[in-house]
Amino acid sequence: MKGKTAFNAMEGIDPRYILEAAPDAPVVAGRKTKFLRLTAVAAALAVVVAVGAVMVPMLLREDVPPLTEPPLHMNGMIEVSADVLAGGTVDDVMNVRNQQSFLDNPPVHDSFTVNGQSYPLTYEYSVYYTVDDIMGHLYRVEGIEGFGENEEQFPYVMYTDDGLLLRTGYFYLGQIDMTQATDQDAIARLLEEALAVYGVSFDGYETVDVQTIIHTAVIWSNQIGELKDPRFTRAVMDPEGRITVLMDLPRVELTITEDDIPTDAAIVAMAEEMANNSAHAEHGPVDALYVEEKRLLYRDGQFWIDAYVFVNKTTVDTLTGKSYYAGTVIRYFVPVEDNGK
Amino acid sequence: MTDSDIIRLFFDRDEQAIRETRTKYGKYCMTIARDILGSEQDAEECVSDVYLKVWNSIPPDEPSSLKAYIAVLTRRLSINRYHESRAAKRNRELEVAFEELEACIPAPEEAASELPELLDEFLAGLKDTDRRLFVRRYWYAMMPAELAGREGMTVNAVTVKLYKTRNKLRKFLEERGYKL
Repeated sequence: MKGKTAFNAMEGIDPRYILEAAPDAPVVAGRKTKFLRLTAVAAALAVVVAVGAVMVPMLLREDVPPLTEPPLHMNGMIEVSADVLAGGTVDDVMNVRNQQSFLDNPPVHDSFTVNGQSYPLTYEYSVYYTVDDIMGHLYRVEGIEGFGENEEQFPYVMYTDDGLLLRTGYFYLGQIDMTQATDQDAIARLLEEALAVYGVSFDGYETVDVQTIIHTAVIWSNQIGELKDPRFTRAVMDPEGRITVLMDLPRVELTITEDDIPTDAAIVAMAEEMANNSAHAEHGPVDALYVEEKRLLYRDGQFWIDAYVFVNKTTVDTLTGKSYYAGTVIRYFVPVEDNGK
Repeated sequence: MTDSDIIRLFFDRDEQAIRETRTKYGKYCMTIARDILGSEQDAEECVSDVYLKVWNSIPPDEPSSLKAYIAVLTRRLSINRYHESRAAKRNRELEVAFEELEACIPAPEEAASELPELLDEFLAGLKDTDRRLFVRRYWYAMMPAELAGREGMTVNAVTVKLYKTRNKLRKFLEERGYKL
């Protein structure tokens, strides 16, 4: 059952149980159990290794159905912060996701220009996978109408828009196994062991919340088989929980100017047209109102605007079946070279 | 004021009913909405909607437990509002809860009508602590850390207990012929 639908299914339980578990019920005094923690950590070490050995090959099967939405494949993506669009600085916010396409077709420049200012690219590029990544992608898959409520199209496996492979069963298992490792040293050891299997050294970690590590580790496990490129030499986890895989590539150069960036009005117009020709218009016309957030991306040899556009559209309440007209945010990718100017 | 008194005010179309409801259950509703939405402002707006919803639904509804009735409405409206919110505002913990439940509850076409009864039967067979943890996690959307504080356990122990309970639920449903 779809997660949120399963969550809805809980609504109809006996009110006795709802009241019994009410947040204002008395708090039970208790104690922490060091023994349990140590046991759990030991168990987690064993289970993660076992799960990794069994599941990673399964995750890398090639016979799983690919995601047919969104239409744009996001391989080889370089992100530039929204500050760039506002005329700010670039800093070190670039990263490359699903680097296989990037490696196959690396950019051919060693700097790029935004708003008249040139920025160098050193291409000691990082691959970031964070909890935000995975949760955002899960949202994205659910948010695609025609897919979200029909999980048969994703029986056990989901691809995200940038090729990230998610298998809900494994996601679940990995989460539980890693949750048991509340001790930071144990988590580090788990990651180190997982990385060592693929010849990648683990340089260190900072204290981060366990959930972040859990999801990061799961994503890492899902992707690790695709990172067996000799140019990936080191992995580091930063305080935000991002695992950075450093790779050694030559300097390149990219170029874009402010004039190349489409205006918000052009983005809104394109988004409205696209929405009205998609499943978003299933229950009535969609009105795109404004760009809520945008950033510049580079992928597959060209720049794109990754825009979150606020729209009004008619949708249906999953619980009551009633339709209503409400605002929501839809993500679009607008090619810079086709900016509507 | 008793629940019966408040319900009578609703039936009398006396707006004091909303004030009394807010006084008695406002904090409770806010806790439910906040845990689901992860935002104080969203929770406040949602709870305001709850009062309006209660005003419009009582009468004709005459709940036997006003507290449970309001809790269900708060949860339902919070989840609706949550699904309308944008990606950046998404509550990671709630998404995790979705994922966890997804692995142990069958598809709706296979169990739509009898699922509440099955869940009740399953919950009835649990130890008090396990049932309270399960409902707090998957009905109230409380985070493991919060559950740990409430139950006097480690986060570790909470997640292990929830894990075992989900496995029990999956097995319970599978034994009744449901494929997950």
